Amino acid sequence: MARNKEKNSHVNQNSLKGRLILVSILFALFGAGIVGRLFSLQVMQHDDLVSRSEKQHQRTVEIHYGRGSVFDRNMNELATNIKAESVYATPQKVVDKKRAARVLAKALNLNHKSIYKKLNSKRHFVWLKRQVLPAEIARLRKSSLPGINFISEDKRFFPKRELASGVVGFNGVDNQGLGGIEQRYDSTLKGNVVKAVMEKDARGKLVQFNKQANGQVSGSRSVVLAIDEVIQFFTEHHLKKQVAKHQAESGVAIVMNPNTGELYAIANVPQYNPNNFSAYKRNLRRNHAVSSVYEPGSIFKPIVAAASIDAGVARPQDTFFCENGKFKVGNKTVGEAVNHKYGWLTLQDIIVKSSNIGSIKIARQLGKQSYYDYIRKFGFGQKTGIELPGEEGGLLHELSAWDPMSLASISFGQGIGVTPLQMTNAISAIANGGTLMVPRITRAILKDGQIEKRFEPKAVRRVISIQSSRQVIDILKHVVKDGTGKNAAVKGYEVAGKTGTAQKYDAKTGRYSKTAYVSSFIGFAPADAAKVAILVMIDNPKGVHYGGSVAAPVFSNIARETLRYLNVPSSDQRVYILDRA
Amino acid sequence: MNRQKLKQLHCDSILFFTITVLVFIGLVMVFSSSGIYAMEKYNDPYYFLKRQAMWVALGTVIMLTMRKIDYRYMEKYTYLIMGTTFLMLIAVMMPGLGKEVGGARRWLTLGGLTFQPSELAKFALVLFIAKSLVKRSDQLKNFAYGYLPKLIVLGFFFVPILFQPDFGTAMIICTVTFSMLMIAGLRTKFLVYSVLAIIPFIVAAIMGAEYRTRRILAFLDPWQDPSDTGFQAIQSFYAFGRGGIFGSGIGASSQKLFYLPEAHTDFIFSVIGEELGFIGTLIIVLLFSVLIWRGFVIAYRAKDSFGAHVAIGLTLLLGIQAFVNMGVAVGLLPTKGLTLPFISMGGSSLLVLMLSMGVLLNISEQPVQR
Repeated sequence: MARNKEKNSHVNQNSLKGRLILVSILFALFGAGIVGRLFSLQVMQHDDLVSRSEKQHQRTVEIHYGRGSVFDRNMNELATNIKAESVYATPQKVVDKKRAARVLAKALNLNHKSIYKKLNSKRHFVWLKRQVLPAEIARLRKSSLPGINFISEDKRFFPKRELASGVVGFNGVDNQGLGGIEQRYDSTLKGNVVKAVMEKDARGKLVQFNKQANGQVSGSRSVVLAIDEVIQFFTEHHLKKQVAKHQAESGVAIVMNPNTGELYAIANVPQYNPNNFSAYKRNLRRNHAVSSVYEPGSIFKPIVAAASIDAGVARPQDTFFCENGKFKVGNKTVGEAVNHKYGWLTLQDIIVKSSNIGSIKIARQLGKQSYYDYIRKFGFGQKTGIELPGEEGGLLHELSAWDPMSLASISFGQGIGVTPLQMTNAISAIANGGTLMVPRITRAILKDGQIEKRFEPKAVRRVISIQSSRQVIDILKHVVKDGTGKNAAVKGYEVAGKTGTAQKYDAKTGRYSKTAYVSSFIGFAPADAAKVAILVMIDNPKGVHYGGSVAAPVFSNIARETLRYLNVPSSDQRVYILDRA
Repeated sequence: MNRQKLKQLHCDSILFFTITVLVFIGLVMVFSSSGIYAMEKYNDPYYFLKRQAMWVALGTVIMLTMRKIDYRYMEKYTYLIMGTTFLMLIAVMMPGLGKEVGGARRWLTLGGLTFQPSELAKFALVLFIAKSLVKRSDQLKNFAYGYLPKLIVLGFFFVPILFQPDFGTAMIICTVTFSMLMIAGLRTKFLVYSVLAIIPFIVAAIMGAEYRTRRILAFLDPWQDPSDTGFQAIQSFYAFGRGGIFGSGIGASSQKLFYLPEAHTDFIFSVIGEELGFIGTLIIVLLFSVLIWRGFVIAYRAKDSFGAHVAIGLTLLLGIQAFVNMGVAVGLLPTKGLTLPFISMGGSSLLVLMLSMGVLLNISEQPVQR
């Protein structure tokens, strides 16, 4: 005790008091700061902070309604919307998560684990499955699991399934266009976006959608295509049949109105179903007609013929020496198909018999510069500007980059890359009397059912004169009448066209394949007043590979049905009418 | 509590009453802020309440016991307490003994119960500083004998706690030690130099841990990135703001549900702000102010200087921690993992607090007659 007292005396009570007061003042100041801050937050900023905090209790989810339809030229719907239900969860509200996950996985045909994970998430809102058909969830609705809710949405639906899917395209789950017209016209077709506000009460328990606009959609725009679903249908049908028959890799067919540039049909085989697009490989969803570049082969020969006739350097009956089947160009030897050996041939026969050497001779007579200019004028080496996504411009080297072999090989369609659409458009220019048209996939845009914009035929340029085109058409008629294209003939109509059997370039060996070919036929009918221009390309058919055998029959079938469907009078009908008279 | 007994013992009844009120508010708020979380996590809304109530019961026993034990016994056992605490701090680092939660090793597991030695370290350090100040009272102006030993012991506690890591507690023990020394009349020069010497380490610690840097940046401008780093601060502001003057009522906080992190520990003051309003938060600030006032009064009236220094140390410990926690919640200080004394959920903290309060009450019962 005494010790303590003694020590106590060392503590100077007065200075202790002073320092305690000093520390107390520091505490008081800081305490005052806290109170001031509390007053500011709780009293002054009360309203502001309440409204700010409310905002984070809400979440908006964009729901798209009323996307415009895609019609064919006769107003048949190719893409439309159906009502679908989307299932979402409010994880905090789900009572028995294990059971809920089990029931949901079964009803929605989803992975049990991933659903369970979603139900355990800290978020207030998770989509479980988007755009389910109402029938699918009827039972789920009845089981009325707490925390599992439904909201109706528009689901994109393609009633004709695979039909014209390469053109129409497909959509993602938020209705965004991901291919074809759906992608190209996404902003036009885009309907109303409804911001659905998800609200919860102060306890964070209740979640509901508060729809601002519902059902009634205005200002929706639709796209009317140039495609005719009937023509499209049998184009696909015949192409598909032939591709299957010859076990080919793929096939493309285009049907075009050569006078207006309107596309009646674009068919790609194999096809995909846009309602379930994700089940198909990316490559299958490609529209080869505009996105793939091929070496055209012999179907390119009419171009050299047209160019030299129009340039006035040759007439159809002028003769060229075809070197008896062997011709050295630079250090390479060019031969004929099936080892034909031709001597002197007229220009017409060169095309009719599809002589490679003859084509070289014509091209040489025409000259590099002139030939190149004509190729450009026919629209090769540049995009056509069609309103479809992913168009390629093809491959045409600048004249300065041509080697000694270029002129020769391009004359018979090698060493140049074209899209099927470019090829069809070029042949259409010959068919319609010499004018290159802008190819068109759309006819009109409708707003609330009324025409808002109409797409009119548009000429790019005159490529060759009418007289020249007549002469070329006559040559192409002979190809079908007594040349390589006999199988393309259509009873009752005169057909003009050209076959092609292009060796596929093998990138691995750097050489043209001896076994893989692209068989094709391009032509139009009726030859002297063409109503349709058609291209058929079949990639890598097994067994027979000649364009005249593989592609020409498809052309014939498509042309026959299209001409009849378009009520183009046939020579048979004319006879019948004359009889009546 | 037995008021009859209180009067007989002449202890500081204002202090006792304040503690009781704070502990009671703590129980209510722990239940309010943890009920739904506990329901979600343990399927039992009373999970945290039950545990906290148990701690309160145990803590009350400890407090009442300590009140009866003459604080001067503790002067004798100071080194023992200090040594034990230090061993526990080291044991935390041992795999098997220490428990890691969220990347921090702060807990010791003893047969299913977890204990946080850094809480006890605060108490032990106060005892040591007090004892050392008494022992070297004639050498306070001497750097080597009066100052350095205290600094070294502080270092022995500071370093393991910093590496747990528990930056908040490490800062608290430093602040409390220096404040005690200052009040005891140590040369201000020493203290200023020490603080200057420590600053580089603090800066390094802040820069070294990315989350600390982010916390500081978020503190400077929480609205800059409300979704990430400033999240806690902003959610805390929302909670206070929503409370307004009178609060939304006990149990009615919506912020505590999913937005406010650590609602029942570090940010319980924000929940009080939302549920009890400005009135409620003002009362809490006042209650802590009363505690500090009573603590200093007890220190001033203490029978001997050991009692005075212990009382000052314990009061500072409690006061600084409470004010820092509240300061963080209202955005005056950057986010630190510090609990609000008596109110936040947490057994170790409550037990040591009740122990301290028992000691403080005991000191108050033996005043010098002046």
